[in-house]
Amino acid sequence: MIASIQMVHILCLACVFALGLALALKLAGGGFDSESLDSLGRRFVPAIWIFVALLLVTGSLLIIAEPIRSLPKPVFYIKMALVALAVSMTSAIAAWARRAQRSGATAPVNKAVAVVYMLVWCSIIVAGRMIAYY
Amino acid sequence: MLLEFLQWLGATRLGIAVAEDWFPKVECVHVIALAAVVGTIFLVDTRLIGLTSTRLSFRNISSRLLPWTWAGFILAVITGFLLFSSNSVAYYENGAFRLKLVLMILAAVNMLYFELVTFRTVAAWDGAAKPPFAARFAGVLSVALWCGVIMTGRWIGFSL
Repeated sequence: MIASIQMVHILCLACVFALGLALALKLAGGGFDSESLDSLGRRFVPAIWIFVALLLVTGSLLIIAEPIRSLPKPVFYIKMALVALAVSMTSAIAAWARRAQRSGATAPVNKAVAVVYMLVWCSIIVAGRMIAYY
Repeated sequence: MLLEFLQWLGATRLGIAVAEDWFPKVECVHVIALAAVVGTIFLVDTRLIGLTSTRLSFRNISSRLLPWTWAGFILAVITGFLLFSSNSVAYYENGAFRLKLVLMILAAVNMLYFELVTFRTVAAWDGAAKPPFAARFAGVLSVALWCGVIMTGRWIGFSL
């Protein structure tokens, strides 16, 4: 059972990572030329929430199954803090794009925020994997 | 012959270093790489099937995401080889590892057929919300095969 839940957890993680990557690429000013950041965000951010919710459900099941494996470890709390940061950044990017669209301004381009955003998602994966070792 | 090579690989300084020290770090990079590969493939495939991004052309989606798929794939192959070198004989004899390789080969054949046959007519259906059956079938098959790759990949850790 644990193996099956972990498989779903990894598949959801891959989906969130790619949706985040698409959002970051658009924010960095590259690609999806016929669509604004706001439009891309309206399609992809709800999908990110669905997969984050599935990650929380499968993650909770894994904790219930093996609480000793994660709860006593500091790296687990680092991962949760990073998840909160990723969720906040996703909301902020979507809100930023919406405001720019409403005011008629050009879509915001910020490569630094896009890079930091993807580094946060990568750090979540690293922290998640480290739970098994430390 | 192959077994001798695998035994030699596991006894190299590289194999020993990965087994004794680098394994968790290499595994982290492997998971990031596979998330990039499978996630971007899913985004392209769901457009191919006609489920997502239907207002954008297929080539608009694929041209932006597939370079990241390839970058992730190269990284996944390098890190995968390093993980394999840490315990090469055991991986070679593992059923889940063998099935994972078979599924990856099938995914590659599916992609090659799509590129060489179905993609030739892309100009006719690039902007269509619902691409032709052959394209949609390739998308569904790809999603199923890559789900299998992830599942068997995770199962290796439980069965080694």
